[in-house]
Formats: sequence, structure tokens, C-alpha cells
Amino acid sequence: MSAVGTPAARTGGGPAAAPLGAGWRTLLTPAGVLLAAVATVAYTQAADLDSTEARSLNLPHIAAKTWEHVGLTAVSTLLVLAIAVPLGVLVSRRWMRWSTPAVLAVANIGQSAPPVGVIVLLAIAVGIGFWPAVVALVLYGMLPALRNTMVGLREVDPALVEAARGIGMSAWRVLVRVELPLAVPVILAGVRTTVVHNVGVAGLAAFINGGGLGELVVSGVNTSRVATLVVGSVLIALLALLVDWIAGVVTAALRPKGL
Amino acid sequence: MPETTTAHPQTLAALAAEDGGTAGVPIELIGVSKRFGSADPVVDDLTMTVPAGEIVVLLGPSGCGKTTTMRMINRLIEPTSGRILIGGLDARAQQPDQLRRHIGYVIQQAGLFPHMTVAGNIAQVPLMLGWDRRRIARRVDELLELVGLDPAEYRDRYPRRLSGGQQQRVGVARALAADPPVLLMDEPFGALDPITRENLQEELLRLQGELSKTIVFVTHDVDEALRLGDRIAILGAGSRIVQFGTPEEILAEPADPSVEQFVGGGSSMKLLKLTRVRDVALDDAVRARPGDDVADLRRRLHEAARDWAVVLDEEERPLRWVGREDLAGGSGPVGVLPSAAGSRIDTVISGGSTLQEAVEALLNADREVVPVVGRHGRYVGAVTLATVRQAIQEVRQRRQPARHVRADGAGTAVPAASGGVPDTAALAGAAEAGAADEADAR
Amino acid sequence: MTLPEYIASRFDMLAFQAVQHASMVAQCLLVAAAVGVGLGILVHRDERATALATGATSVLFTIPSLAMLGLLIAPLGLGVAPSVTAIVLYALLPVLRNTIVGLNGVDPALVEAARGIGMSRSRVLLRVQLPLAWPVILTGLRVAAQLAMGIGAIAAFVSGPGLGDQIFSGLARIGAANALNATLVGTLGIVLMALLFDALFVLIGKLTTSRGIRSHA
Repeated sequence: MSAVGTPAARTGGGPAAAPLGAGWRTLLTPAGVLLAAVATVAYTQAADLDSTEARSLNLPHIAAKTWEHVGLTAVSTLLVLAIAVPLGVLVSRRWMRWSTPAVLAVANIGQSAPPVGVIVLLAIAVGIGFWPAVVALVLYGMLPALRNTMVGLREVDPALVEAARGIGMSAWRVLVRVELPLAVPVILAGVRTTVVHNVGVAGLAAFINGGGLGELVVSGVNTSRVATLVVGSVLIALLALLVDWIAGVVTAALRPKGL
Repeated sequence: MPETTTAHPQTLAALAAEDGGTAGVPIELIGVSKRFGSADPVVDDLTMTVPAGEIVVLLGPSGCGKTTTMRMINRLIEPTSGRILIGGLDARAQQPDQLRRHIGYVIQQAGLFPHMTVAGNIAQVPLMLGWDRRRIARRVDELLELVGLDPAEYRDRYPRRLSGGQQQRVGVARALAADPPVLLMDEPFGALDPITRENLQEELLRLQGELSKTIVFVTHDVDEALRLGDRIAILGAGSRIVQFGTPEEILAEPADPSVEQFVGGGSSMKLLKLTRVRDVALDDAVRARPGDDVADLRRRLHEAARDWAVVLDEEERPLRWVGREDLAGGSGPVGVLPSAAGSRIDTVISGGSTLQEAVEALLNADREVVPVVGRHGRYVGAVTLATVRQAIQEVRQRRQPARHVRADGAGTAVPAASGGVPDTAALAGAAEAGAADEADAR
Repeated sequence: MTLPEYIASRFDMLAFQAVQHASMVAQCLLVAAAVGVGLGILVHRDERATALATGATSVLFTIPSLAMLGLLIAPLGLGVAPSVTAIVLYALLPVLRNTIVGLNGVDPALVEAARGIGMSRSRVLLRVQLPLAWPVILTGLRVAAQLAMGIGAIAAFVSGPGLGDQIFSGLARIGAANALNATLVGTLGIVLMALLFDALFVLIGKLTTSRGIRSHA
């Protein structure tokens, strides 16, 4: 277990910092999550709902919102990967090292901005809907992935880079064969943080008509329907746990052997 | 090899291909300087030549620029001024990555890539040179055997599962992968425990006996330098060469008090460790055969003014000592004399033994003399405490002491300036044999 | 209306909301510190208890803040209660985890030495382990403070206190005159306060960390 706050883990800031309890949670988590999800949905079908609740809690609607939520998370995470990792590699190159403190400072300050504020600001600037929500998610999710890419590359033992150069690897080959593989665990930890973050922030997309399960929570609060609110909350929570589990499994699988 | 062989190779790669890569090539540093920023130069106008096939140790306190000097050879650091020639070719005229693939590089703690297996680590340079899979696999196994690791057992291991000594063996194997003519070693054994370190030093000498690479070896460990170096360059601040010479020269005649202090006290003991029996003037006992007549031998001992004779068998192997008191009053063949206690010879040393080993043998023997044997255990001479004392004094007096002749005959044999030692000729043959016998020297 | 004008016109209310936000975060941190450090001390010796405690808090941590607030409304209703509870729960993980790591990171030889000169277990904890683990624990609190600031913003959605109110009133009036100003004030105000809290923690760290173990004097 690593302390929250060491360079690599601070970005994790929590669940993604280390594959927690890899043993006992491995299959318990997805089984429990799925069971709870089935129970929640079954409740919505069996319970005595008024018309307002029934409008939100019918099966097709729940499925559509869940799908939107997954879509928001997936699209934004892929975009983050496509932008943050190359950017992190770029600013870690020797001739860009000078920019590292500035980039990290911006990333740190950006991280302290409340996501709901960022989403609303984007809605005002760009408009409401799916894509502004995706932009907000990308902006917000960039930071952990970017920072961990930089930290991961920086923490590669300089002696190994030296050894790689010494046996005649080109700079590009050193990056691809040595630096990136060794940084993979840290980078993946950042990506895991990003994707779990994004599940949460995607819930906020409902505020700007971006869709997703957040709509159930928002409409539940606005119409004072506790059932809708709780079902929405439970499903978001379960989705986050499931995504965290999947990310954990993927992280473990992609971790280079020998480390 | 994809490179076409040209009449005058322009790159180390081509040179290595032409030579089959095996033999070492000389390295010349000519007026090389390195300064970082405006500070005092780390390396200040250094000129030295590393002869082909030799181990040259750069020895000096930390911060004297010895590592910087070494890293300029494979251009991990670019010199501010000066020229570096490897095998007569200007290092700067070659593409650095290409150059480095033909210069083996070994660093402290091996620097193995933890995410690659042992085989993967060793295969890196051959991969970059575009070898095919089968050739690489063959080469990996060959190298693992060479450095004393069983390929079947170690090939697929990750570095994490190797001991420090094993990691460094793999590090050496990786450096040798493309059979480079030159090897750079930056304190490779510095992080190992003393016993492992000594084993690996011994292994390195064995490997060098087989391969004859040109090796530049950086260390701050005086004993390591004396043990490994064919020559030692003692560097001061700014990589100024304080003394450049063979270990014997440095021990016998330190250039200045700072070297003397650095090399440390007990230099006589160190000389004992360094000097091989084959390099010193041996005593010669009176030789006898089991069939020789006792009276005749008595007369010969008297003529030679000796107290004892060595009895040899038909193969010239020493059997036993006979002293005057054994012969007194006896007659008939020497072989039928009753053997006195302790006269049987069971301790012999070879030309490859160090004087230290000879002294140890002397202290343990019942007589104040130990026979030296050459090929097939043939007697070539004897060592006494007087021999050892004489040898040490001579080494100290000689300006240019005799370099020991390499076991494989490939080393640079510096002519023995002192000459006139009666047994030198006999020992030249013994020296060749001695290498094979070194293991059971005592 | 420009941003400065907006701030000037509502200065009293903004100042009040800022103080409210800060005080909510500070109080939540105090509770989280007491519970997190206490729990950490209790479990750090026992591997299974440690796994259980960090496992449970990290599950809580994985639940997105909106969902957490939604779940807390059901039993606690709207207002301060669910906001404060959610913040404390989130702040718990970094504090707890760093307490455990910090305590376990103390060189066993030192604990041994302290026992050897006759200190009782509690005295060893108080005099040796906690002071040495303190920088790590403080880092956990810093991370917790950053989290609490951000989650405090969403609290306004469930009628909680603080600067989040500005963001949600901006959201409610998208297209209207002061939507941008309100959202900006809310967002930047929280960023600013997060930086202030961070600086404060750096200062506390300087003042309370033994000079012998400070990384840079």
C-alpha cells in the first residue's frame, strides 16, 4: 500500500492508487455489483410507483440512461488517453523538461477546480448537451492521466535509460522499449483514476442535459421523489465500483512481467 | 552481417564485421577535455592510449572525472575538445547509436531492464543489428554459457529473480552480445559483496583470456585495479594522469607521494599477490633419478654446495627430496634409500601461482623449499624464501619490470629488460602450461 | 456587469458563502482527522483490520459524490447534514491510509529502542511513532482538504452551504445576465480557497514537523 500524497499516488488520490485488496475483491466485486444492480432494477419493477416515478424508472429509460452514462465515460476516457499520454511523453522529453513544473502546477490547480463548476462554465461557453459534457469530462479527466504519465516517466531509473543509451538504443527506441513499459504501471494507475473520476463527473452531465444516470438523481431531487433519487444514486455508485474493478483487472493484466 | 566489407572500414561496425568482431582494437584519447558550463573542466586535456586487447583501469577518487572520461569513449558524453580514436577511427565521425552497439557497456548493478527476461536483455543489441531470431537465440545461449549461467535455467528468468552477482554476469553477457572489440565497464562490481566481487573479477580475467577485448575499467578500488589491470591509469583532479603503468610499476615505483598513499601501505604484500612465479628467477636444486648412484649424488651435492637434491621420475615429475644426511653412508641407487619422514613431495606450485601462494606453500611445507612444475607436472625449478625476497627486491629496482607473458600468448609481451635470469627460457614454456595448472597450483 | 462589479455588488453575501464553505470544510476535516487517525492507530498493527478498513473506505471513496449525496438524502433529508456527512466520508480515506502508511513506515528499530529504554506502548505511540508519521498524515489531510473543497461545491445541489450556491444559481440562469459571473465566482472562489488551505497545510507542516526529519531545512 502506498501513501496518498507520494508523487505517483497523489494523482491516484484514492481508489486507483493501488490495486486494493486484489485478493478478496477480485470476483466478489463484480458479482456483488451485478447482484445489487439486478435487485435495484427489480425493485423499480415491483414497487408501487406514482406516475412521475414510473416515467423515470421504467426499464427502457433506465437502460438508455445507463448506456448514455457508459458512453460519456468511455468516449471521454478514450479522448483523455489519446491526448494526455502523448502530451505527458512530450513534456517529459529532455528538451521540454523545463516545462514540467509549470505543467504540473497548472494540473494541480486545475484539479482543485470543482468539476460541477467546470461543467457549468462549459455549458455557458459552448452550450448544453452531450459534447460539452464530454469536453468537461476530458478537461477534468486529463489531469490524473497527464500527471501520472509525467511522474511515471520521471521515475524510471536514470541508470536504466543510461544503460539503454549505452548499448546503442536510439532515443525513440529507449522511449518505446524501456521508458514507457517501465512507466506503464504508474500511467495505468492514472488512467484508472481518470476513468473512475469520469463515471462520477459524468453524473454531473445531467445538469447540462448531457444525459446519463445523473438525470435520475437530478429529477429525483427536483421532484422530491426519493425512489428515483436513490435508484439513480445506487446505479451510479455500482457503475463506478464496476468500472474501478474492470480498470483494476486491466491494469494488472497490462503490467509488464518482471516488475 | 549486412555490412559490406570495404577496404578501409569507416565505422566501428564495419571494422567489427571485418575482424569477425573478436579481437580488441586500441583506443586513443588525444587532448580530450570536457567542461560542463563554465566550471573547471572535469577532464582537462587528457591524452592516453589503451592498447588493443588489454585491460586498462582508470583508478581515482570519486569526482576525478574517470567516469566522464569513459563515457566520452562511447559518446554518452560529448567531449568539449580533443579526439577519440577507436581502432583508428574517429568516434565523432560515427553515428552515436551505431557506435555504441559495437562498444560493450557494463554499469554498476548491471542496469538490466527489469521488464525483460534475461534472454530479452541480452538480445537487445542483436535485435537492433537486425539478426534473425534463431541466430539471436543461439547467441544468447552461447553467452549465458560463457558467463557461467545455465541457459535452460536462466534464459527466461526476470532480473528480479537473480542475485546481484548473477545480474552482473548477465550484464556482461549483454555487453558482449554483438561481440564488440571494446568493453567499457563502470564500477561493475562496486555494489557486490567481497566474495562475489572476487569471483566475478576472476571470471572476468578468465573471459579476457579467451576473448582479448580492449577493456576500459573504471573503479576506485585499488585492490580491484591491481588485480585486473594490465595497466592502471591513476587519475587526479580533472582526469590528469598522475601515473600510467603496470600494477608492478605502480607498486614498485609510485610516481609521487599521493600515489603511494593512494595505493596504500603493505605494498610488499600486494607485490607478492601480483607477481607470478614464472616471472621470477628460480632456484634450481640438484636433480637426481631413482637409479642414480648415492655416492655419485653425494659428490654432485658437494660440488654444487647444496644440502639437498630433488628426485625426479621418468616423466621429470618431482618425487621426493633427499638431503646429505639421507645419503650419508648409503650406497646403491637413490631409489632404494629408506625415505625419511617429510621428504616425500606433495606440495608443488606452478608458474601461474603468485608469490603469495608460493610463500604459503613454503610455510606449510616441511622443507624450506617448494618445487615448481610446468606442463604435465614436470619439474622446472624451486622456490625458497630467499627466491621470494630476491624477486621482490628486483621488482622494486627494475625500472621496466618483466610483464608476465599471457597464457594465450596474445597479450603484449614487454621484453624483460632485466634479462640474464637463467631460468627465464625454461619458464616461458612453463608459463604456457602454468595457466592450465593454476587451479591446482597449491 | 463585469466580474469585479458583480463581486462588489454582492460582496457581503459572497464573503459569507466563502466563510461558510471554509468553515464547513475545516470542521469536516477535523472530524475526518479525529476518526481517520484514531482508526488508523487502532488498525495499523493488524494486517487484516488494515485491509478491512482501507477496503471499506476505498469503496466509499469510489462512489461518485453525486451518488453519495443522493444516497444520504434518503435518510438525512436536504441541507447541511448530507453535505457534511459526504465530505467526512470522502476525507476519511486519505487520512486513514496515510496514517497507516506513516505509522508502519516508522523504522522498527526506533520503536524497539523506545521500548528498550522503558517507554510504554502508548508513550511510544505518542512520543515516537506519531511525530515521525506526522508529515505523512499531514499530506493525507492536505489531499482530503482538496477533495472536501470540490465536494463542497456539489453540496449546494442538496441545499448545503457554501460557494457552490453561486455555481448552481449560474446554472439555473444560463443565458441570463449574471450566469457567467456567478459560476466564475463560485468556481474560482473554490480554487482560491483550495490553494489557501494548501498553503496553510504547508505552513502547519513547517511549524509542527520536528526539525530533525524535515526533508529540506
